[in-house]
Amino acid sequence: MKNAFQSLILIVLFMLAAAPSSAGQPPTIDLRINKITVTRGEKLYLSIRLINGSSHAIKLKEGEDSHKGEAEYLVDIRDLEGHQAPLTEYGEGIYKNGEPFTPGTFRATVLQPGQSVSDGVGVDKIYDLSQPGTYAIWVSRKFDDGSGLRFIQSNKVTVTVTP
Amino acid sequence: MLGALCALEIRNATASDYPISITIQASDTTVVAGNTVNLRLALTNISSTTFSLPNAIDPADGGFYYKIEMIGPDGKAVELNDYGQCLYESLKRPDCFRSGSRFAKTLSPGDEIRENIVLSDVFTISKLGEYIVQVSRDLPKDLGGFHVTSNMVRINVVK
Repeated sequence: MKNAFQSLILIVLFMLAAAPSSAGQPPTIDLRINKITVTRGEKLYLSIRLINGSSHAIKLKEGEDSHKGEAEYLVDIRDLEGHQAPLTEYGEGIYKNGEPFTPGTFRATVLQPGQSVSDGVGVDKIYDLSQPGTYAIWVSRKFDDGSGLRFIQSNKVTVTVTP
Repeated sequence: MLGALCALEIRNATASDYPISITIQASDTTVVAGNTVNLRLALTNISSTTFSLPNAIDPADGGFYYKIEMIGPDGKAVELNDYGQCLYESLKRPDCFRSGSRFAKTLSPGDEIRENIVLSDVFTISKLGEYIVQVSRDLPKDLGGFHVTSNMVRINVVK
């Protein structure tokens, strides 16, 4: 009887721990790529969707003048050995300090629970992908959840560049 | 009369009173002499109200409303070059013709204006060693008339 009671308590505790807590869920970034194999010099395009799946509003900075995904997301691309692909001159101007920076006005935007924001980034514009190989790509972005600035990272996508 | 004077609260403005913050960052903290020296600037509305602020129309030409101070490796202030004087000290240089428009930018709480200032275009950075840069801006009277200063950054110029 005692064992059965202890088991019941454990099951209840387990169920409570496993229950989804929307308050604790951070926003997510869904990253997609237009092609998984490209020939050298071919356009490579990322579709990015940031979803606020939490139960509270978050704040983002959104470019007002020339809306560019690369100005809001840090795009990271690495080969199989973990080496970052070289930045183009354009990419270097934006990511030189490890965080995106472009001149312009950036508006504080509130993303309510359940809302999402979509962007696109031309990877070949930022990184020099002239070296054939397989690369992993992911993006990250800064946001304010009311208690301070935080970073969120997307899923990784893989692309193979062929000669 | 004395009572009225005593009732006046005299205090110095602190950073928390300012409606804006100015943050600067060097694009490169080490630069080879002769290369371009870029400064990234972010002006943020840190107040809880919306206001308008005069701004240059071309963000790449940002700086009309800022004062840039640069201390050289010898500890002395680096002088603005001719172009720099025309951009930042227009009152002293009425002979300079500056094209372009200016407009008032409305900033809601949390909004940010990011600008790139090419320091090597406005200062003659000829000496090797460490330079210290700070930017400030005078706000109009309706925004408290504060003189807001940025953080300081160090840029090392090497051979």
